[in-house]
Amino acid sequence: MKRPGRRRRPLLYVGAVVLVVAAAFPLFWMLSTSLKPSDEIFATPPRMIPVHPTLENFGRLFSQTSFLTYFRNSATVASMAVLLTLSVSALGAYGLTRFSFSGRDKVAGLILTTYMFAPVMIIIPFYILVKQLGIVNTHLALVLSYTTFCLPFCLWLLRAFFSSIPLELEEAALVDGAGRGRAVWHVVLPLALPGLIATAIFTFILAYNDFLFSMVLITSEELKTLPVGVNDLFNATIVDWGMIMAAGVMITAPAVLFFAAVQRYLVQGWGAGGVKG
Amino acid sequence: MRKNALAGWLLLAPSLTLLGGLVLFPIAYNAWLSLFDKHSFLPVQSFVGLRHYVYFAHDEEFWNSFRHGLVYAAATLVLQLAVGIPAALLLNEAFRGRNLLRGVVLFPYVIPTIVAIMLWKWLLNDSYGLVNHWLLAGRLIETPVAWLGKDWIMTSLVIASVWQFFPFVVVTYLARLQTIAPELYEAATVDGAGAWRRFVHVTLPQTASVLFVIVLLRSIWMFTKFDTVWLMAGDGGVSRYIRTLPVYAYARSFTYLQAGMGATLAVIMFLMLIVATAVYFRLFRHEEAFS
Amino acid sequence: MLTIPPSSRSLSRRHFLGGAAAGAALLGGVPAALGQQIRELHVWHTEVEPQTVKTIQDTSIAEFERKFPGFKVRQQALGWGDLNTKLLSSLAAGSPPDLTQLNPFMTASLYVKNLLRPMDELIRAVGENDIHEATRKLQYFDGKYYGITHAMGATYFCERRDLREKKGIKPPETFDDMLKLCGALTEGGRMAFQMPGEKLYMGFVHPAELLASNGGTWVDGKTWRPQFTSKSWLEILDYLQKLNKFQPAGWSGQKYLDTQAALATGKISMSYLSGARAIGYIEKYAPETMRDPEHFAPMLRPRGPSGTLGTTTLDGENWAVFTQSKYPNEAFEFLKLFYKKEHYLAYCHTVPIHLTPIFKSLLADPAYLANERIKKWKPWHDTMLTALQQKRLLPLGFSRPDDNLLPFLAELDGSSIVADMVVEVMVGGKSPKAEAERAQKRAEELLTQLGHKRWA
Repeated sequence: MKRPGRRRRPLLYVGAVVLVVAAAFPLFWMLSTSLKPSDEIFATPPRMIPVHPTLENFGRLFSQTSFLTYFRNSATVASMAVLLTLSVSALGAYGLTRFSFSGRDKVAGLILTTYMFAPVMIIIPFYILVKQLGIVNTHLALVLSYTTFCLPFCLWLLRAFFSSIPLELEEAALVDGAGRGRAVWHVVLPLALPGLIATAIFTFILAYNDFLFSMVLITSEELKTLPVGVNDLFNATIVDWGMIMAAGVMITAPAVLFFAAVQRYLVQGWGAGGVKG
Repeated sequence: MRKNALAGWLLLAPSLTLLGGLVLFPIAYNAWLSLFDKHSFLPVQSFVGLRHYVYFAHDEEFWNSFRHGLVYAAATLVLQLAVGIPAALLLNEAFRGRNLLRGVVLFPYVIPTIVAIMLWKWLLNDSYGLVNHWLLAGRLIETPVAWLGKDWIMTSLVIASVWQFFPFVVVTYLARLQTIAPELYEAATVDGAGAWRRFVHVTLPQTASVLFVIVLLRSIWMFTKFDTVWLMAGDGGVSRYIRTLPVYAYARSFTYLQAGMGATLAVIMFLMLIVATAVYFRLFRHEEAFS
Repeated sequence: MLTIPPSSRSLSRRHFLGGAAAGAALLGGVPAALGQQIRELHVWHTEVEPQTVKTIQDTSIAEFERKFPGFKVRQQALGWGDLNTKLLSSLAAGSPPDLTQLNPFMTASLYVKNLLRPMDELIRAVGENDIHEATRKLQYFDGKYYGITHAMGATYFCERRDLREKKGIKPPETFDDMLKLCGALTEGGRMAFQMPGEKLYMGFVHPAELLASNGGTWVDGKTWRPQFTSKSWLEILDYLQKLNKFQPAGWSGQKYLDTQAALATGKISMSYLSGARAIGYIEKYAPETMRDPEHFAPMLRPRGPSGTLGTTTLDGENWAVFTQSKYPNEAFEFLKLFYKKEHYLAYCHTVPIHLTPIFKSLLADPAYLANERIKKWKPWHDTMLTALQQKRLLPLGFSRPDDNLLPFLAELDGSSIVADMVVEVMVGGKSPKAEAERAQKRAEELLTQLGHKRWA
């Protein structure tokens, strides 16, 4: 790591401040608006910090809309998708790195190719397929679609992590009499933890953010996830920017908290596998 | 490493089943559907061969959407790089609060698209938005700008998208920056190279291949971006001015109710991507050998 | 229509259980009757306002569940924009609701595919001859009824009557009058009017009204050939282009609800699309001294140079029962309870005047007129009656009464062919003729692809 000279230090901090403002100011403004009573929201000039902060926007959000239902649905679907993706991709990545077989690299390449595909390109046949499986309008359909779309990247990421774990460590455990399962559990997985966490974050973000699948596959009000539910809310309201921003804060908070808790793994994880993803 | 093909395949089976069943099969099914006139919901269907493809070749809406997509992808790509690379270089320097900043910069990428769009629609609101307020207060404009009207909607979409996706460039570029050996910089410094020359002679060559990958990925993803674009204009008449190919494909399937034609557009996009992916793969191999 | 469009406002009935029970139901989500044999009657409608949902629950549903033990009615209030896609996808999935509201322009395409059940017995039971002519035969095909309107709402301009009268100008009779009025009302930073920017309205509902008001039609009645290059259309496009100068520049990026807010807060003098539902916004957002019909009044549409009568949209979806419905008989029984006088009046009073009863006998019924808001906003009710009497109302998206036979209006709306033409002419300032030709080409292609080409 370079240590910048004294001359460049002020410049550096100016840049850092600009970056913080660019990334975080819109979020700050969302939080600020969500805490304002309605006359302050439309006041000119706008105040940066609410003069009379209030929680009434949040109150309306919870009492007048199905926000909590959407929230619960999103949380359920995203966590199920994380679990499923982790299991499936860890198995696959282990298979790709610990066993050699003909066509292995071709398969890995093919899997990565599917990472290119955007959901909108397959949504019609996907819808028809899901309908024929009889799981249209279920959370299962969403979990499967998120898992599928995360898999290529996650497999690739974990493959990079697993192959960086020396085979000798695992073999040492095997020699010590541990079964393969235990060797994997006690040696491989702990070492691959940053990769697993990066995988989980990636899947969570994708599942929690998805709009298209949820819009197309879910028809019942009580099964809707946050992005679709809140988009409806947005269309329904013009005057109630306070409530809209409150919804934004409520959606963002868990994502940011989750992310903040594990973010140090992320840069690391993407550093190892993400360059290629 | 064991030679055990069966175990390897078994472990891969769940992944391959999902990908095969839910991605590859739909793609093949799309190709099949594109040969039919099929209603999206009702059981009405007739074989038309390649007629849809011929139709789109002459369809003004198709070329409009294609053009919008190119403009959108190109503009957002250039700006993401212009913001993301300097940000990554900055975050590669050692200073207090750097780790916190690294986290903060990622926020826009983490929050759901719907929130990003709502937020920007509020900031860009013509009557009460902060952007118009500041521009008016700074005497940069005299009357409020209709950011979500015809003339500015594409600009607004680009701004919101760059804000949302530039962190990807930061993270990916930063990851590569961190692996550059410090000795390279030290050697350059000894040779009397200043910051700019170090960037040009050390950093750029070292990160050339990752840059290329970023450019390819981001352009593919921006070109196929659906939700950001769709949420920006929604059902508004103004959506005409930012209608990209993914949005057009969605509309053919779900509002024109012509599943066959929607599938055709999907296949066309797919073929475009195949070309891009072929290039990407060549570069990717190169990159792997490189690092 | 004219409701808050999407379904988030559609509070499911669980929200009204009140207090802790509601919270518990929301968080737990476990149906109370888990394990019991309960048959569910699924009812979808488009009246998303909370008080309407609650009233349906407390009246028709409550009585139905008493009369049919073992049945539970699950009502789902869907936003207007959601309805078509949701219905079609539920039909495709083979699990449509037992009873639903439909847009009249959808009914024909479902009827020709044999997806609807006739309901003559029901129509006779609720009083065939008492149903207003404006709605009675909208879903009447080959001698049978396939739908019944839930309630009638007229749409019109909502004007600041005080501002117009100050100028001494009469309500406009013709397109030209309208342009003059708009010119007079655009001053001092206030624009004359604002049209909603949703494609559905500016690209489908209003063009249909304009066609009907100017002697034009979507398609030729016999050959179904689109008529975009007709004299009528060109006059309309020309009119719209001129009209555009008198509305805020950013209108195409705003929505129906924005126009109501702009009117209530004095930014414009007329909202292009309004109905009696707007009274709610006026009473909430207009300055307190102005919340009355002297300041905010409905104004009917002008006619075009080739037309005879200014025509406007009748907002009124119709109830329909699918052939795939699981409990069709119960669905009809539910409707009988829905139209039972006391229940029906309570329903109509949830959005007074905008939910005008379909029964002629109720229009002047003291029990109906006794409502506070109807009394206070009487001129709005009178405008509704005038519009009915003068036959100025056509269902949403219809350019003429016979459009109920066209099985492709949903696709025409979804294609945004009309919306693109209108927005290019109005906002883009493009030549009406060139845009009309482009729309004509696209529409001919669309109808051909959909298999509805009957012209040579």
